[in-house]
Amino acid sequence: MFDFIIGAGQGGSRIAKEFANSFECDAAYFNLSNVDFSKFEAPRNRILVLDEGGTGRNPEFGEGIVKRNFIEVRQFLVGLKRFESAQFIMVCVGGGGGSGTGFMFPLLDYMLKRKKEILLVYTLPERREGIPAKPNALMSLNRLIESYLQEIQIKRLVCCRLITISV
Amino acid sequence: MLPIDNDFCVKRYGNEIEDDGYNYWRRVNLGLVRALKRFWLMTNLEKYKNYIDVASGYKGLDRNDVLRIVFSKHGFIDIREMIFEDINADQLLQRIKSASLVFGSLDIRTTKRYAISVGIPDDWKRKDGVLDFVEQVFDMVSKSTKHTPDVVRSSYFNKKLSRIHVSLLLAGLSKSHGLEKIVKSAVKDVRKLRDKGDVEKLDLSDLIIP
Repeated sequence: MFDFIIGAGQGGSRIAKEFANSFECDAAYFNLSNVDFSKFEAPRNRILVLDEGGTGRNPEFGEGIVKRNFIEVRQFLVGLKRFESAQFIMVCVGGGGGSGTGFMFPLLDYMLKRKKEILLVYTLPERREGIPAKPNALMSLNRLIESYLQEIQIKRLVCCRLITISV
Repeated sequence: MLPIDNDFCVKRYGNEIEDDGYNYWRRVNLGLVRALKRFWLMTNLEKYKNYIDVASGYKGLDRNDVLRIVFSKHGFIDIREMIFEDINADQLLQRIKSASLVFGSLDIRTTKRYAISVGIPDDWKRKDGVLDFVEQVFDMVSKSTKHTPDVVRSSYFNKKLSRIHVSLLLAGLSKSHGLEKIVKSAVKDVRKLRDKGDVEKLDLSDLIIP
């Protein structure tokens, strides 16, 4: 079903790994802190860590690191043959932290530009997690909805206007 | 996009007695994986032809049916499953609302396209009303989704099943009471934090030496 799986951040990478094992699919894992991957078993050439000491659960800070280092991210992906030829890609991200969401938008933009089909698996934190996990997850979710999920409404509005004009 | 409500999944797949955090979350993650994988398995039923009979059913799901829904570009995706002990779909309309495997409360009425598969125990083939039951399930789910027209329906008989399994893969969902609850809970947390107040200026009036 999937040609390639990407995990971003600690939670997202662990979910991605279970999907990769179960679907027998190649995968790559991204993080902004080495400590989160201390017991994470995956081939070294499938892991990219931009270690600047983590993000302190700040998605904007995380995204800043990823954007500054995106050449490295792109080179890493381009070096993965199965990613290059993949059409259907699953991306797993935990919404509550800063690493997964930090990688998420730059990765999605890059892959959409390359006409990849993407299924995003996005987790919302438990109620007890509180601040900053819940606001982080909701704000990133809002941005996802605005950026990627509302196209159909916009198209419909455009259609309606066109019909009105033609009438 | 497949939203996962960790609170919901922890209740569904977690186990408080688990020995450590790693295994605890692994169990939750595996629950998610299995929820999605069952649809993938349904597109490969020919591998299980020794005990699955698709020809006797409605139609088989194919790979592109599932891909079209999973990679649907707009709205949320949800995976639901309902199990019936006998040929009676009376509770379906109530149960379908809370049958999600990954997210508690996306509103099924807002779905734009879906795949439904009904798995029936093989030895029920000759039971009266089985095929009517399948039609009834399709009709009721159609009603729940406000008759969204983009639908893939399938059914099969399986020797390994002892009960009826109704699996649903929904796409294009746009509303969720659960999300509203999470937003409310987050707003409450922020308010609570704000109400803790700032450091107060010290009252040093008694320290002033006359």
